Amino acid sequence: MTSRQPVSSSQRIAGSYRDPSGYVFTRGDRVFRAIDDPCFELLKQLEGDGTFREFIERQWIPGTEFVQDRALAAELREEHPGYEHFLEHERISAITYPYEWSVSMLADAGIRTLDVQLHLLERGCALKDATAYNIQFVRGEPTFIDLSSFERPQRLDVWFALGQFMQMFLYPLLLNRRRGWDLRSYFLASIGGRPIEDVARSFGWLERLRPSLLVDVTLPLWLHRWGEKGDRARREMLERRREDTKAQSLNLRRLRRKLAALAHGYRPRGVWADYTEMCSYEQQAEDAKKRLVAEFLDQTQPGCVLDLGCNTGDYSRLAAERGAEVVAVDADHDAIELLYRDLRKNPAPITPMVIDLANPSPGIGYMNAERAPFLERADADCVLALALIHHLLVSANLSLEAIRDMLFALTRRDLVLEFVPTDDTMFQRLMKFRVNLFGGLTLDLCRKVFQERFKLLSEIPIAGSKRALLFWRKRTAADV
Amino acid sequence: MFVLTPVAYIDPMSGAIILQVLIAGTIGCVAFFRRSIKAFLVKVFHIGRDTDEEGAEKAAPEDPAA
Repeated sequence: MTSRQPVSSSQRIAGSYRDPSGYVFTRGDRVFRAIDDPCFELLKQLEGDGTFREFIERQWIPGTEFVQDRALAAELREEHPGYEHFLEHERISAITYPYEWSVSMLADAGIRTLDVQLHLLERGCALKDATAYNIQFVRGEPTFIDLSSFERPQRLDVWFALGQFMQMFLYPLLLNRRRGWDLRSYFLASIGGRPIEDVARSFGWLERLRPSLLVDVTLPLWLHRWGEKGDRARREMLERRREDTKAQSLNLRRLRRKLAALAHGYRPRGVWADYTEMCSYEQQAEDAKKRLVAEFLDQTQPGCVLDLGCNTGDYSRLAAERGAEVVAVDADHDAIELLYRDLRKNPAPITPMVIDLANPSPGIGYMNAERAPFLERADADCVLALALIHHLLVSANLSLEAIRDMLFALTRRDLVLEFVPTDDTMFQRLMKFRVNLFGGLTLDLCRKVFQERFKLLSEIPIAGSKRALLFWRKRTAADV
Repeated sequence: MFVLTPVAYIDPMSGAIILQVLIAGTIGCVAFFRRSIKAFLVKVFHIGRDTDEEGAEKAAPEDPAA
């Protein structure tokens, strides 16, 4: 018997409110989507002809089921008046946003959107919108999550979301490659992508006439201006359904190749690829460190690991091999780009993100809560802070207490901290032109500061180096 | 002269839409007059049976399923 509670246990997702045909909500630890009747009909048809199954097998959409259980459906209908039908989605462990992606991640997200659109076109359907926020990376694969975006449009020869697609995927990549814009600035500044006027203005008039920009930037801009003048473009209901998808197919395939070429042509600086040469580690010390971290992960079996300052992703892979889902974070875009490219060749359940821990992604959009800040989304059983502390101390100017508090907020349970002493080569290198404020920084001080909020599980010096690994567990109210 | 459906809930870029309508129209015309164009090209320029445009359409872009 359903209890008549005044407060529903459903929690609407902040970012899911613009589409009139449905929205996403969580209920406990399950994720559902309420959909209206036309959407339900359409998805049922796609299920019937096998498209649904195909999409799920290819990992183009997340695992999804129609809610069949009558009792559950009844409860959901009560909690969400006006909606009769519900889908349940697999829960995505790591939510990332376009401003946290690297170049290839954005290109692959665009390509996946086009894949879905091309397949839908063959079945007389299309996507209502093509925002980059429709894509999430699930087990390393870009996945189209907004199923209520599927529709049967009036015209199949024209894609109404193409303008949005270009603003969300093509323009940022063009600006990145041609003008050196970073993706984070682009997406944080405009939640819908940058308007075409502004994009065109970033290029000189001669460049705008070259083929690569002419069709996708210049012509739409001219036609937009022409259409606005004297109300030449009128909005009227179409009488006849247009079925011919050939032109659109050709165009989308062309865009697909273009996105791939833009991303492929990006050459990441191997900044920290030199790291291994400059690094003060002997191979022996590196192996010892890996063994220690592996042992700890084996003992504690975290479900989700957050690897801070992941660099080449060695420790992310280590954690993934031990059954964890990993979020690999680094402030260096190129490191994430290299990691992502490597993951395409050697897949693993790792989600890379470009995050500067001293300036992590803020909350943006409506009420600054539509897209949650990084710190709210970060939710790991175990945080790896390896070869990180000296960067935060020196480059980011954070105090030990500040670092401790941030790491406390990021982890649910455990923390693996590598202590780097001031006479370490890497530490010295960061401090080359800076005033030495770290005279008092010792292992003892570090231990003392962290012990105020963490419980020390064990401390092991790394053989063959001056560094040490400290394994911590968050103090709960019970421990204090 | 140009029509836009009001069904979309996002704000479609009118320029992109007009361009697609034009391209769709052009390709439609070209398809309609294909034989005449082909005959013309063969007659005047002595190009072989495979015109450029047929060749371009046949050079199929990679299948997204691949």
